[in-house]
Amino acid sequence: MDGSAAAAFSDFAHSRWPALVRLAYGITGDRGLAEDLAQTALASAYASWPRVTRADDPDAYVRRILLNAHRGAFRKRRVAEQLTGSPPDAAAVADPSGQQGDRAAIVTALAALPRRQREVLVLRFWLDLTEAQVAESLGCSVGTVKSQASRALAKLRASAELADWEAR
Amino acid sequence: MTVHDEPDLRAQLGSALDGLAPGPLPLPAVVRQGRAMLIRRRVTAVVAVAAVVIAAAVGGPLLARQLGQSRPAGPTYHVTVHPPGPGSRKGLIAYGRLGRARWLAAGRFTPSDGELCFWAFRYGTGGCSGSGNAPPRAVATGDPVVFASGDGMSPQVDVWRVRSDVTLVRVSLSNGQTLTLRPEAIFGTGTAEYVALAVPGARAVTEIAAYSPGGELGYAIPFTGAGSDIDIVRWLAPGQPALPAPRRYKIGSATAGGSRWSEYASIGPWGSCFDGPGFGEICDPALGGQLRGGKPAKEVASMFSGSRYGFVVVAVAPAVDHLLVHVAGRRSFQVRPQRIGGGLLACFFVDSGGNVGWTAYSAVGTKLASG
Repeated sequence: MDGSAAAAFSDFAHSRWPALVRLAYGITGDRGLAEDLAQTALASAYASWPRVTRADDPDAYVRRILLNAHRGAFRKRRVAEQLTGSPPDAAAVADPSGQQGDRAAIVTALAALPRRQREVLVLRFWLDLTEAQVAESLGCSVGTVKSQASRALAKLRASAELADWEAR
Repeated sequence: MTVHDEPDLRAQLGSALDGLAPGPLPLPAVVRQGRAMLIRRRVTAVVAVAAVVIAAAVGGPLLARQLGQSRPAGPTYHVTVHPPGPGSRKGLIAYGRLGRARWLAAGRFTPSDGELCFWAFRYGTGGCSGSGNAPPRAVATGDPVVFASGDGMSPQVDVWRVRSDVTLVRVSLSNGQTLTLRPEAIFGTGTAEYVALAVPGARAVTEIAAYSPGGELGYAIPFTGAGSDIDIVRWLAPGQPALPAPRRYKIGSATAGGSRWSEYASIGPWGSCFDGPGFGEICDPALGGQLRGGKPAKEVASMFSGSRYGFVVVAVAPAVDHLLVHVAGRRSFQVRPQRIGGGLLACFFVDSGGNVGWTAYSAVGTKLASG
C-alpha cells in the first residue's frame, strides 16, 4: 500500500470506526467483542483495500466483512455464549441518568434473540437500511428479512428483560 | 418502555447505540493485522500453487488424495475475559472461561506481614512477595505492561501490572482471538493496576498491545519459545516493524553427570532470550547481546540447573578476542565469541557450581574486562 492509499485508508478507518463498533455492539451486546470485530473488519478492509475502493458502496462492503467476522466469532464462542451471563461491562458502569439502563435493557433483549434476527433488527431499524439492502448484507432473500424481522419484533414485545425494566 | 412498534424500536436502538462512545481506533494494530492477513493470503496462494505443481509433477495419487483431505486443525481453544462487576469479590482482577472451565485471578495485600499475593482459581496458583507496609503504588514510568504473577503451568493464568496511563490491553492469541483486558486498581485509588488472562499455554500469546485514551502506546511480541513463561521483554513503538525475524541458535552444549546439556539463544522482536532444558530462561531487551555504553563485555545470563551444572553467557564487543574462564580448583580455559543476531556472545559450561570467573582479552592480550 503506497503513501496515498495508506492515508486514504487511515481516513476511512477513523471515520468508520465509531459506526462499526456500534453496529458490532448492537449485534453482539459485548463491548470488548464489538471493538475486536470492528478491528477485524477494518484489518480485512486494509488487506482488500483495492477491492474496497472499487466497491459501489465501500460502507456496505466493510459491513459485510464485519457480519461475516461475527458469524465466525459466533461459531467459535458458541459454548461461551451459552454459559456466560449478561454482558458485565454494561452493568459495571455507574449510570445516574438511567440511560445506561435503557441501553443495557435493549441490548440485553437483543442478545436473547437468534443471531440472524439480531442482525436484521440492527441493520433495518438502527442503520435504516431497506429490506433489500439488509438482504444483500446478510446474503439472504428479502422474504427472509421480512420474516426474521417480524419474528424478532414479536419476541422483543414479549421480552421479559424490557418488561422488567419498564416495571422499575 | 416497551417495543410497541417499529418507530419505538428505532428510538430505543438509536438511544442505545448512538450513545455508545467507542475507545480510540487502534490503527497501528489494524494495519498490522491487515498486513498479516495479506501475508497469510500470499503464503496460502504460494503453497497452493506449489502443492499443485508438486502433485502434477509427481503424479502420485497418494499426494492428490492428501491434498483433498482436510487441512491441519488450528488451535481450537476459546478464552473469555471479563472485568469485575458490581458485587464481585474484593481483589478480583478478571474472570472468564478457558474452554468450558472457569478461571479467575485475584490479588490480596496483607498489611500485618506486608505480603502481596496473587492467585488463580482453577488453573495453578500464584505467588506472594513482600511489598512493604502498603499495597504497590501506581507506576507512571517504565514498560506499559510487566509480569506480576503466574505459575508457568499449562494451562496458565498470568497477572500483569500496567503503567498508570494504560487503560486497555489487547492480547492476540494463536487461535485468532484478540482479548481486551481492562486494568483494575484492586487495592484502591492511586495503587497499581493489574490485568489478568488465562491461556492454554505460554505459546498461545502472540502479541500484547497497550493503549491509553490517546491511542496505542506500544506493543510487544513476547518470548514464549521455551513454552513455560510469557516473557514480555521489549516494547515496540506503534507501527514499528516487529523485527528482527525470530531465530534460534544453539550456543553451547556439554555432557556432564551422565546428561547432555544445551543452551540456546533466541533472538527476535522480543530482544534476546537464553534458555536450555533444565535451566529456565533469561531475557534481555538488547538484540544478540549488543552492548550499550561502550562496555567491552557484560554477563547477560548465568543459568544453573540445581547448584552444579550451568551455562554462563557473556556479551562482548568486537574488540574482544576471547575469554579466559577460571573455575575454582580447575585449569582455566579459553572461549571464543560467536556472532549471534548482530552481536557477539561467548558461552561456556560450568560443572562445579557458580564459583567461576572470566576475563576478556583483546587479540594482542590486553585485558579488557572481567566478571
